[in-house]
Amino acid sequence: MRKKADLVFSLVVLLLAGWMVWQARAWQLTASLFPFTVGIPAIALALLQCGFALRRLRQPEPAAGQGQTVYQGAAADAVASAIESAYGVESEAAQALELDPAVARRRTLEISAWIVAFAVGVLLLGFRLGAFLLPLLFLKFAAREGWRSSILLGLVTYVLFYGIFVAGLHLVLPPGQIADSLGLDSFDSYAVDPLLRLLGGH
Amino acid sequence: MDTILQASLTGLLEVFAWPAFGLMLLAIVVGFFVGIIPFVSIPMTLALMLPFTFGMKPVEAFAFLLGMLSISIIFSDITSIIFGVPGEPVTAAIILDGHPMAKLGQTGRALGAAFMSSLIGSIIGAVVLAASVPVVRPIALSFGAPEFFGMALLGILFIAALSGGNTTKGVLMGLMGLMLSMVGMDPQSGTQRFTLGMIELYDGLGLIPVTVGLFGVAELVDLWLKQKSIAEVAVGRIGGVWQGCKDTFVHIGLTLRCSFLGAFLGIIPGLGGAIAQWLAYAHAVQSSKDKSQFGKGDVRGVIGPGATMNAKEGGNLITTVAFGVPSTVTMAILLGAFLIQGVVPGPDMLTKNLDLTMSFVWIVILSHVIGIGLCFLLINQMVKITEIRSSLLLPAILLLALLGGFADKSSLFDMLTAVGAGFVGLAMVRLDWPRPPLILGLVLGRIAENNFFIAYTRYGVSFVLRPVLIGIIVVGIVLLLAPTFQKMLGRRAGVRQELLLAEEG
Repeated sequence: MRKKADLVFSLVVLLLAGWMVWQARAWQLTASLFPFTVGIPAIALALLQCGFALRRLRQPEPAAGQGQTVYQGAAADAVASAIESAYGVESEAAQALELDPAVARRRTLEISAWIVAFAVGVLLLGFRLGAFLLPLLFLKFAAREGWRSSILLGLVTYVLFYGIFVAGLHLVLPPGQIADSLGLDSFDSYAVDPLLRLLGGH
Repeated sequence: MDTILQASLTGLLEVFAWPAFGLMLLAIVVGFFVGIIPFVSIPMTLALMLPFTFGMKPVEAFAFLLGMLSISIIFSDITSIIFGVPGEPVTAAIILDGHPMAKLGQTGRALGAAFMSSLIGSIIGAVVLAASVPVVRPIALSFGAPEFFGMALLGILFIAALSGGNTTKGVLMGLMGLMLSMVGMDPQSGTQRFTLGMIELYDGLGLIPVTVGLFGVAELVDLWLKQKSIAEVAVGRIGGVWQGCKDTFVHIGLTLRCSFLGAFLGIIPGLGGAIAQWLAYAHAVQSSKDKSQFGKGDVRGVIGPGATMNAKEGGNLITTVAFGVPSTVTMAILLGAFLIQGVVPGPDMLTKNLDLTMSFVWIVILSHVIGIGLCFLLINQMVKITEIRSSLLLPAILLLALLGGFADKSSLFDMLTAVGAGFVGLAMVRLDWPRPPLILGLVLGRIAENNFFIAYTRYGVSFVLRPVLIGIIVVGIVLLLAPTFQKMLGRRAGVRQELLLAEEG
């Protein structure tokens, strides 16, 4: 599965590099010189990588303990471990925890879905309301916290978010598609702004 | 020399000015969280913090980013020693003796030794950075556009060659990073390149959304895999920290040697902290007469890596600042901050912007002094943070990543780009495709193309025959072929050994 995915990724890189070079042929020399200079070696390397991936795909699966890179000497060993830990060749968290691959896969899918949900949530609700509602939903349904702690942590996130980015850095944040389509300001502002005015004595 | 001293003084005053100093203090707090909570990595946090440096002056931005970067290593020593779990991958070596010391009831002593050796290391690293300016300046000033183009390529090759043993993937990702840097308007002719007619891409593919995605969003998966807190049991009161400080001075020779080793290793591009710490540990063992206690709780096994890891940052900055060649992934991301601030690494950093370079020296030193001071005073309160579960932090980090993507140009398109880059980053991690060369290509792309264009216009194709550029190309080729030769030699040695064994059999 992983080998197939590696081949697919290599092919995507090849297609992308190929498309970029193909696009560059229509431009004048000043614009196309660098894309050609970089793109042609990229295509060559992508082809090579596809070849490697294809060869690995045809090789039988090695038995346990075989087929792993053998590093010679302590220095090389240190280099190898350093690279793996520094650049995240393998997921360190998964390795450190020695998670069951099925559990790791399920959790990866879970969090991927939540990342998309957060992005969609921000698009629809805006950052401000999202800063309260999205952590609350995540903590309740993904982290399985109780309602009380989910609401409390959601509020803490909102207060920190509002304090730092809205009040402190004066970032202008979009109200979200829903409020926007109704011609309204961010939904939270109807509760928070009067409260702040009250506290500010205005 | 007068210019350097003058710039040092200006740099110091700029760091102490408000809000730069306040931002450095904030960076220490952020660095504390990053260091002490495993799986919240330095590159990830650096990427997340990058968008918020917009609107800051260069000194302020670097007081924040560099302060956080340099301090988080010290804080990660805390979890390495107390729990045997490295707060950052670069502090794994300190576990070998630090954690056994904790088991022997010498937690405070191990922490004291780690803090003090880190402080000495950081000061030496920063001094090496300052002292290197008169040495590096004539070299950088002698470089022209062809050489800087070569250095940009060499930087990518260095990072690519050390990318998980797969050089082809590393170089390919570096080249793809360069290709992606061309998205948007061509600075020479005004041609729109690879924009697909989308107005959002006319300014180019945002460096920040891509960095936030590749190093922020993708890392969230690992954060979710670790759903527990690091502290399985409550940590008892920590004492004996001053004893560890005294140990550092008892072994001052080792501390100084490892500090200089770190500064030197930091200069060599591609030799990351994860390698340096092991070399320092090996030196601590080799240079000791009595090796029997190493691995069982010898304080020298803590002092060596502690000093090296913190001295390394000063060395790392030399090549990043003078040539735009970052040694590590964190430096590659920091290089992005240079571009955001409109500061071009290279000769300008050693002449026109020398006070900024010298401010780096002070930021490294001051953040260490303040951070370690806090460690001494508040260590017992600080370890309580390890009881927080990672799942509670995740929604806030995810929101921060999305906002980071958005904040650059106030663009929801960029926010979605960050999410997209996050999934690409996740696939790359899972399939062993290195991310650092891709981001470095994207960072260096505009500089490389600009220098390439100037070199081509001025010298034609013959610019590749300039001696320094040839030297750079040769170094690049050697670097790329070295792992292959190493493997071949290793294989040949293995075959010879098998034959000898067969003969003996």
